[in-house]
Amino acid sequence: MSDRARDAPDDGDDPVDTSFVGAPHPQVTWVELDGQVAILHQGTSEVHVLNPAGSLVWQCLDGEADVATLVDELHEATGEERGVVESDLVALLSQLHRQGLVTGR
Amino acid sequence: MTAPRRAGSPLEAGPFVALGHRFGVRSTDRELGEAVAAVLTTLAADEGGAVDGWYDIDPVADARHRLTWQGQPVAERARPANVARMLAWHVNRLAVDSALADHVVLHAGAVTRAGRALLMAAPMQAGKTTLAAGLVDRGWAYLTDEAVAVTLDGGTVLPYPKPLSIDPGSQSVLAHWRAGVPDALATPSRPRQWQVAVTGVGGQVGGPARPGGVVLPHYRRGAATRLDPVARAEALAELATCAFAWHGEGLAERFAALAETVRLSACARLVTGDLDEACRQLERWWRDQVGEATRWAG
Repeated sequence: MSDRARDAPDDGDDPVDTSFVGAPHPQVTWVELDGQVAILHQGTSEVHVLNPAGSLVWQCLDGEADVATLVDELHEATGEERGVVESDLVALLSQLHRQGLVTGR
Repeated sequence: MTAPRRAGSPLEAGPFVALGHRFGVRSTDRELGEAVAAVLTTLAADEGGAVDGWYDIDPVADARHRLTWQGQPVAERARPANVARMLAWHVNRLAVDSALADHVVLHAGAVTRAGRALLMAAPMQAGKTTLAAGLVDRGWAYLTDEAVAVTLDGGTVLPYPKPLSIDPGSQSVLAHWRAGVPDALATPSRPRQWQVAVTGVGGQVGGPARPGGVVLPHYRRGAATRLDPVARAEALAELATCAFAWHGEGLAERFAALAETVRLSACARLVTGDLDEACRQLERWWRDQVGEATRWAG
């Protein structure tokens, strides 16, 4: 996969694979309340709420770890099968990327 | 066409304060002016002082009136009951505008008990006013039925005790509130929205209060009344959809304020089919979820 910035949502090209390194988009701000993350996209003014598992992932998005690393960490933390963790994580990040909440490289 | 009515000498009332909107009311129809002032009484400024502008009510013809704000027409030929309604609508618009710079303003009702505020946030026709009135009947102090202003630290809900606007659909369960409608604003021939000052039916107005509860009400005719806890993050997202002017500069700060508001609150979703049952469930929930924190609050 190329190193081009992958921060353009809805470009029809899903950039999320195991090498994807995600981070909250600069236009978002977020809070954690009782283990759930609520994210404000300041461009659209929409607020998105993640479930507890998605909230855990969100808080791991530091712009440094790639998906493969996150899969390892979440596999260890949750005991879930690695393949399941990977497919869930890729699906979640793809959705967050489409919504403009996550940027990545 | 009948000639304009001029009952008695002109009336000048005010100042009234609706959040940051300070205004007075002048009427050349004294009876109607007094009725309008009566329903605005809970907005009367304690300290007096100047006004930012005047609403003027003047009879035209055929028992109609002209309502202006600072000389600009709000209504050209309104019936008396509509004068009060249109004035309340206009006041509300300017009240919200006046508060937006320094507060998050929510489309919500609010009442207070022991220094803690219960916010009821929802779109129109969700039953906010009816719930607020039902809780006032049970001894809660009234803050507003329409627009809740929360300070930007999220920690204080301000009173905006406008007259309650009780729709015809709620008048059968709030029939005793009819006593608070001044005769000059009554419309005996057909049901119309009542504008009622909470003190006109023996209710109390509350002061600034710390958030204690956030309820997301939804009226559904004939539904089983049901209150269910809702996650704070979900409540925050719902509050955002109820915020006035939820865009542009300062949005992150207002988001943080609402986050603090829900952090200070128990949160629930309420489906209302029956007002008494809804109030009972709300009070039980409040006692269980918030009562502990307010026990020593006086």
